Amino acid sequence: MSNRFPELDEARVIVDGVTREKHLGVVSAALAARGQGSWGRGRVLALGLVLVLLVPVVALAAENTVPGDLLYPIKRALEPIVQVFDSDAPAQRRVREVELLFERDATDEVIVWHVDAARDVVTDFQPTLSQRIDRVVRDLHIRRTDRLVVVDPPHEPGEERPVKENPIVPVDISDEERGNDHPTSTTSTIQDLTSDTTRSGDRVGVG
Amino acid sequence: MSSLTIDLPTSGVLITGLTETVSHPLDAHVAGIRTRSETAFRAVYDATADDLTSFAFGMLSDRKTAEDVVQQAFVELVKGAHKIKGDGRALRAWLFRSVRYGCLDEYRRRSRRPEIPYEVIPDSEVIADPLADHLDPSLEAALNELRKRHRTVVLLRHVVGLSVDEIATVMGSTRRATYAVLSRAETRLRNFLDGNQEAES
Repeated sequence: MSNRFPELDEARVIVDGVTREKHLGVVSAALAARGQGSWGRGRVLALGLVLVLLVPVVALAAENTVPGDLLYPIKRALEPIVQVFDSDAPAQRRVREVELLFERDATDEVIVWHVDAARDVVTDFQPTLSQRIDRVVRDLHIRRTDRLVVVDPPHEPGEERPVKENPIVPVDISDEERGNDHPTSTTSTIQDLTSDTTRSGDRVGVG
Repeated sequence: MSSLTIDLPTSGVLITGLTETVSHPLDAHVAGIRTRSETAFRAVYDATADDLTSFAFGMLSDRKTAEDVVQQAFVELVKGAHKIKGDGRALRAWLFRSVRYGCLDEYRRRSRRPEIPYEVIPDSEVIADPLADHLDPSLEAALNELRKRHRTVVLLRHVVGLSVDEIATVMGSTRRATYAVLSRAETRLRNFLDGNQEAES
C-alpha cells in the first residue's frame, strides 16, 4: 500500500470465503430480526397504545348502560375491578340501571325483572338504595295507571263532545304520592283524548 | 464528475466556482443500506471487508478478534442504517469509525483480563501455528509502542490507504490536526522499526 512502510503490508489481509459467508449470515440474521422486530415491536406498541386509550374510554362509555345495551357486558365484566375500590358499586349500579330503564321507558316486565335483580343485591344496610327501588316501583304503578286509555265516543266534527257515560276513572293520586321526582299533571286536553296511541304521559281525562 | 455550483442570491447572480466531485463506489448502495436491503449490505461488505479487517488486524494483532470486530461493525450498521447520512464516502468512514470503536472496546476488555502466556496452554489445545493469525512479533512490538491514536492513523493511511481527509473524518478531527498526528506517528514508527532491525542485525 505504501512504499514508506513495506513492513505494514503484513497487516493486509483478505477475508476468506468461510469468514465472508459467516459474516454475511450474521448480517442476514440481523436484518431479518430487525425487520421482524421492528414490525413486531410496532404492532405491540400500537396495540398497547390502543388498549391503554381504549379501555378507559369504553369503560366510561359503558358506565351508564343498561341491560340490553351493546356495552353492558363490558360494564359487567369490569365490575369486579370497580368493586375492589367500592364494595357497594354492584348494588348502586343495579339500582341505577332500574332507574335508567324506567326513564328510558322500558316495558313493565323488564323493569320488574330488574327490580327483583336489584333487590337481590341491595342489603338491609343500604336503606337509601332500597328507597330508590321503592320509588321506581311506585312510579311504575303510576305509569301503569296513567297508560289506561279510553276510546273517545264518535261524534260529528264541530258537534259538542258527548259525555262519556261510564268512563274509566283514573286513580286520583296526589303529587306527594307520585313522588317529587316524577310530578305529573292530572289535567287533560283534547289532544290527549283524541289520541289513539298509548304513550307515557298521555292522559285520560274526565269529561 | 464536474459540476458548476451557482448561487443565486436575490440581487444578481454569483458564480462561486467550479467544484470537483468524484463519485464513490459505495454511493450506489447508500440508499439500499438505509432501507436495509440485503443486496446492498452484501455489496458494501464485499467492497469494504478486506480493508476493515486489515485495519482491525493491525490494531489488535489478532485476526480472529479483528474479524469479530468487523462482523460486529456490520451488525451495528444494520441497527443504525437509518442514521447513515451522506454518500458512500461517509458510509465507508462510518464503518471504519465503528471498527475503530470496536478495537478500543477490545483494548478495554484486554486490560481487564490477563493474557494467558502460551506456556500454560495445554498441548492438546495448542494449534499447529499459533502465530498464523497474529502479526509478526517485531511489527506488533513496533505498533504497540505507538499511542492508539497514532497506531490508528498509521494503519488507516498505510494499510488501508485512506486519504488524510478520510482519516480526519474517521477520527472526528480536522485535516491539519490529523496530518500532524500522522506525521508524528510515521516518524515514531519508522524509528521503532529501524531500531528493531538494527537490534536484530
